[in-house]
Amino acid sequence: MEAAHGGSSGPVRFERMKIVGADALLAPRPGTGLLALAAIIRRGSADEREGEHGLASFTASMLLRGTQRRSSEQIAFDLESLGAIAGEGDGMDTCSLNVRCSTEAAPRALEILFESLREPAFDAREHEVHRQELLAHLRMIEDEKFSYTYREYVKAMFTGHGYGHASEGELADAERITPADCRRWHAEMIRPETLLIAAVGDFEVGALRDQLAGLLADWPVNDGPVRPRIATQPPADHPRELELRKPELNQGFIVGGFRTPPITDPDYAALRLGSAALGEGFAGRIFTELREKRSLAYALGATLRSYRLTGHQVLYIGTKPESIEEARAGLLREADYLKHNLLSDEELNRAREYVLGKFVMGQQSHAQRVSHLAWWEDAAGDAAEGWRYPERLRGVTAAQVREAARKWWVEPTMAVLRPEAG
Amino acid sequence: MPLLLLENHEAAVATADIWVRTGAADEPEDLSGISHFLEHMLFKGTEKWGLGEIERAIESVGGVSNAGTSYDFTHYYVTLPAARIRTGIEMLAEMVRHSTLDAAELEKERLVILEEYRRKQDNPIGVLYELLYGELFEAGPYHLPVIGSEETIRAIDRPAMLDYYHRRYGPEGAVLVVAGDIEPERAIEWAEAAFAGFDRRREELTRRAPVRYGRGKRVHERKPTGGEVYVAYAFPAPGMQATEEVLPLDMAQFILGSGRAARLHQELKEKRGLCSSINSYYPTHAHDSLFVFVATCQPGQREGLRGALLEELRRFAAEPTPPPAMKRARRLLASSHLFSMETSSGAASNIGYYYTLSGSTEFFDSYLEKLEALTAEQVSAATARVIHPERLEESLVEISVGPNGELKGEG
Repeated sequence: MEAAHGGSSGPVRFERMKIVGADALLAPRPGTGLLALAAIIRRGSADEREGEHGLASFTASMLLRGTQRRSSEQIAFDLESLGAIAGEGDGMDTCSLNVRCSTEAAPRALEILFESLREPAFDAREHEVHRQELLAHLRMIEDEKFSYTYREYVKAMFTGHGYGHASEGELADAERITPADCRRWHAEMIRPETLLIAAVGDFEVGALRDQLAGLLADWPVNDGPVRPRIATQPPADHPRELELRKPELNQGFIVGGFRTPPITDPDYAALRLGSAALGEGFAGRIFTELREKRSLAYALGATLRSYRLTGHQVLYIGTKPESIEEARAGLLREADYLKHNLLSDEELNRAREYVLGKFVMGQQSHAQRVSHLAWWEDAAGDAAEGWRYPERLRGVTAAQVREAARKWWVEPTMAVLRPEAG
Repeated sequence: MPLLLLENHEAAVATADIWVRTGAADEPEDLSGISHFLEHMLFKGTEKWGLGEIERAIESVGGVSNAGTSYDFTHYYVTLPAARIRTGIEMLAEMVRHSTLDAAELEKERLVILEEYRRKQDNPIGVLYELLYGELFEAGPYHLPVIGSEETIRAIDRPAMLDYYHRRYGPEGAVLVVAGDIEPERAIEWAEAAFAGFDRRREELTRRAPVRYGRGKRVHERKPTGGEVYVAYAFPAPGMQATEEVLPLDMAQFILGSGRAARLHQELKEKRGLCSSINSYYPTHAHDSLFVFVATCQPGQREGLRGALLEELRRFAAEPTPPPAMKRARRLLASSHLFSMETSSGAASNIGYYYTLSGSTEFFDSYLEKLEALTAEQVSAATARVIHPERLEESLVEISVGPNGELKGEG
């Protein structure tokens, strides 16, 4: 007999509203003493035009680097002196500014956050400091095998499409972007009507709504209309093979995958369980077959990555150079297994419970709950879809997993990193 | 064996985390890496559960499991939907008490660990830390890497591992933490049942050699990178046993190198453009530790960065931090502490870590209160005892990894 428990495993309850043109999801958690809030800008790198690559991310990174009233250092100092931890995010579909703080610090922290969002200075010196930081970041990606191989794999997976550009751009993009570019992107893309505000914490909904209304009011007038999202669903798979080389590596790395649909697709839940059965956790097929039985790797597995309009099933493994072919074949063999065999009841149950467990664990902190709300609202069009997600998972059968795998895991795109010969 | 419980009913999730006070610092040189190897083997079957069954059992009720090995401890943790936490407690007890360390599985896992070793060798940060510990701790418990060397990983055998397991994994060196959406009475009942009869006597393996610190060194390891050089500047620092020094040094770390408004971040990166990142760390090992600044920069910036860092450190030790900077660091440190307690795994990890290193919950329980009372003079004084501003260069060990090897060798 297990004990009864008091914690919530249910949905994050929220109130939806419009605040000065912005969409807002406010989820009160009385008594916690904490607040997490994200201002999601519903424009990302997939919405960049040709010649703009990296601009959404660059602009987001400049938001906390000074306003008309506060320097970059002052923003950091003022927020941190409140005990607030703020940051910016970038991605294919959205960018964001976010903050975590105590309830007591929230009014001041939000004032600074929204000032940064509304009135960034795009100062030339700060722009240059960020450029140098970004160039270093891009150089450092080269030093981490998974990050580097994965980045190249994604570009190959979505070649020629908006989702086929790394959100932070390339070295040449970082060199090219000017403060004027950022100012224009901000004017066209960052407006109340492009914002989704998600907040979870110890607040009274009416009071937070009123504060946000004050912070969003009198948004600086910009010329021209808001630029619409231009991301589209990528066309059908064009599988590619990518050979990458680096000097003096002790280990090769493989990232491969298949195109999958967005979370709104009827096949998504089956594919989510397929991913877990294939290679998530320490009991997925990839771990069991390639690590536990064949000792091919330490780092390996599968993950399902989703964007607003598409997704991809990722497989990865790092192994010694002489095992690369065996590891590559092993990854694809396990994917193939799921296309031709029904998962046993035990495998299906493990995959289902694993995903459901991760779903609950991923909503413990205030910031995790904010991410959860924002993701479902933007990707599925309704944050309440997240409530129905566990039911979708519970209804999936082994036959549906096999059929979804057959339908979507067609031809893989593969990126293989090897040591340079000699 | 102590049991520490922390209730948090915000989410229906709980974590069981068992900490065993043994790690790389306890290993004889010829068995370097055995604690980490054993950590892998504890997932390879017990008297009751076959290969893979532990992970399957945990994941089949919605849980995740993992483990970590460091110098002073090894810990194993399971996070589950709260209603299933009993399963987690029982699995951890099985692993710690009844692992079989099967000979064939040990050979297979050796190959996995060699892959982990290769992965680390390819990563500049992994190489940087291995060199840093090797050079700063010239002898003693923190000299050799946690993962071991390729030679020791290949050489560790089952009898040695069984011996280590039986001598180090006993109740007196362990603590079980259960945190999250729990009912304390039930958690106690389940833990008592799972660990009933656990009376294995813990023994020391060898006498630990005392720490001998390296000082006044500059070592560069040539490694092709995307263009950055990874640099660590380290000073010998007290470990957790010097409890009164820990909090002032935590504060010094936040003032100097944590957050966007941190002094070094602003002065060296933002204003002077001498590096692309700089952060400070104070990993509190049990006995002896280090205070370290880790930066990334272009090869041509290295000399300027070193000079400017030393200048900033001299100034920091000489002048008490102004009240606004103290306030910033205090608030940021306090809120980081609070946010890290929001998840059951974060809470269990914090509590277990400090208990294992200090031997009680006092340090953790009084942390925020003592933080409020800390003065700028205490922070400066503790920092001065670590960096020795009057002989700063002689105290410092500088390690770098990246292209451009003109600094190779000791300076």
